[in-house]
Amino acid sequence: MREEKIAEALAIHTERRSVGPVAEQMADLTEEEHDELASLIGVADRLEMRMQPVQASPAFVRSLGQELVGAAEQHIAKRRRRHRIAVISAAVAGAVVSIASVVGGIVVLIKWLRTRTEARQASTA
Amino acid sequence: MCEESDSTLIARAKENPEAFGALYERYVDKIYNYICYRVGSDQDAEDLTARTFYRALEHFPSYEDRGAPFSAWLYRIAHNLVANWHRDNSRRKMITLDDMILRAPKGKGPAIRAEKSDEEDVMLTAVRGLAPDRQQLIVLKHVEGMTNAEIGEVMGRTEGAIKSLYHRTLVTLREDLADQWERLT
Repeated sequence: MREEKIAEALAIHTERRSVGPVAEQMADLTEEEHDELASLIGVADRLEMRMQPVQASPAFVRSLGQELVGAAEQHIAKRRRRHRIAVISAAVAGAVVSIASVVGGIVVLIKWLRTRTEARQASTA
Repeated sequence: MCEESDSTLIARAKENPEAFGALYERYVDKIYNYICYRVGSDQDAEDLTARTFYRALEHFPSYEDRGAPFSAWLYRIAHNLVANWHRDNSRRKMITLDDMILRAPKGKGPAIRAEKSDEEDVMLTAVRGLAPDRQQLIVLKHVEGMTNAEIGEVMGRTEGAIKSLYHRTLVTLREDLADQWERLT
């Protein structure tokens, strides 16, 4: 028995992808395969009929919705605060690095000038 | 009015809590439905539905819309929570038939519901006796009405693999249910 063929026919049946009985479109199935398919379609149809959607209580849906919107507000506010803190921290760090590099540059320059002056004085003496 | 697409809502929801609320409203019934059939108790289904959406909210900033349905992501979160729930609960409460009938969609008369009850009970018991992936498949297909391709996206399998799994699942169910259906009819 070709299980793939039967699985395909079941898919066609359950997804209502075609018009007319599945058996007609599966003309190349053997009699045994037709019987097997019909039996499985019977199970699928009973499942379809009996397994009906259930509904959550409207009060639950409403209250959870309100809680979630409130929680989402807090999440977004927290994220924005974190983002703001990160931006300010980066700006402060950048400023510190800039000031440090300027101060460092001045120190190096002073040292270099002092060394040069000392060298000149030594050479004239 | 044209309904906003998931992608648009997802993009807006990153900065707007109301948009996340709209996504919630769009999918809460489906997720609740799925969980309810998997755990069989409305209190647990409510608890797990809430946890699913809270977890989605927590991980939402890192969610990337790569074209797969948003619902597939939610179903995967729900599936993981249900799996943990089953692991943590050695004693599983089965949903009572009355509960299922009370929550059934409107428009079905009480007489029809009563007729169905025995068969529904037998069927739900048989479905809950299946392996978790097969239960998931049956619920997604018959309760949620998803196609094999959509189920494949949720379960991380190919459409062909889903077709084949569905076939094997129906064969198993037919064997499990054969005697009981004969008794009922």
